[in-house]
Amino acid sequence: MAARWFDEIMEYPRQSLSDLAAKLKAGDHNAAAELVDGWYQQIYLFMRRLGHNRQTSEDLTQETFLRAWQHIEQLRNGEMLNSWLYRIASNVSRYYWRLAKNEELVSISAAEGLDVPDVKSASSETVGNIEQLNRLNRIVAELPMKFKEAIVLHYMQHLTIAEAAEALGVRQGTYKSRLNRALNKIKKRLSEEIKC
Amino acid sequence: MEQEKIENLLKELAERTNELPGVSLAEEIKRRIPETLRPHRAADGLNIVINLRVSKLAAVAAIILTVVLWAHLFDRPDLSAGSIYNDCKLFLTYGFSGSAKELALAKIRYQYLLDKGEEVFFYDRSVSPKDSNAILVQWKLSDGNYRVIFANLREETVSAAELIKLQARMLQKR
Repeated sequence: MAARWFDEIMEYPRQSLSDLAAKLKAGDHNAAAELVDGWYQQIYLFMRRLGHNRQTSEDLTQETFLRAWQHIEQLRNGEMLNSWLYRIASNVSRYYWRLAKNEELVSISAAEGLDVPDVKSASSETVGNIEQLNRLNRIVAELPMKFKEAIVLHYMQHLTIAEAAEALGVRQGTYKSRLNRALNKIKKRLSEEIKC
Repeated sequence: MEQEKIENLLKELAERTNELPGVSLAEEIKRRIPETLRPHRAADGLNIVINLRVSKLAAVAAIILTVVLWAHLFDRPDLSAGSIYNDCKLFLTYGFSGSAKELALAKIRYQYLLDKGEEVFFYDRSVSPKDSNAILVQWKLSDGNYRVIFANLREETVSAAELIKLQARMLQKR
């Protein structure tokens, strides 16, 4: 089941992104609404996957768009609109964590959002897979934030390496190395848990 | 476990955690679209520094550095060791009272008016953020009155006579 927003964004040719960015810079209200329609679901999911609860994720999604409109002049390359928006979202999220240091991390758990088939009717192979997914979900949620961001952006939000690096404000080499380290951490944790 | 398998599991996890936001979220965001999508301003840059809140001291240091560097870049006429020292001292005083941003804006405004050739003065010595009657910046208006930014960063238009009274008070305090 591919996400609707993912299909929609993938349908956005680079030229359209540039056009949309140009309209936003010109102060076009319809373009601002188009930006919301195209990205609000994925920014919300990004926030959820970083560990914010539902309400906070909605608030931070709003804040992301407000900041995007306020700072639209800073977007130099319209084709990078997608990663630019993620960069703002990432900064908004970090800023929030700094203010709410004691707030608990919340993963999209099986109870809340993990779309699992009926366990009773599922085969043992499917049940094993669900268990693995739940374990993986928990391990990703417990990763340090910079590794979690790297994993979420590429594997869950479907950004390319170049886009994800841009979104985090690092070089592609740095991003690849971070992603690799994150995968190794996950691998190690999974192996440890399976042994237990 | 193989890396490729982990990658596939992560992709599957992404597909299974496609939680939708509340139905009204998009509409709520659209309602907040500003009347005019305004461009970035210098003041926002200062806000970003303040909002970082790494610590108040770090924010103050960043502002001081920015202003001093700015002065260097544009080769300000009053750039001297004494002037930089006074600026830093003043920014620290205001920084600790939480008004560094407003002071930076007042200083930028002063430089702007100075460049325009206006009759403007910046009193960078012996002002305290708590003193509501001490003058921080003053400049002459075209109608003969004076615009004054006080040490507590309040702004007012005063007549020449009132300005003299204010200056006299400052002298008496010294």
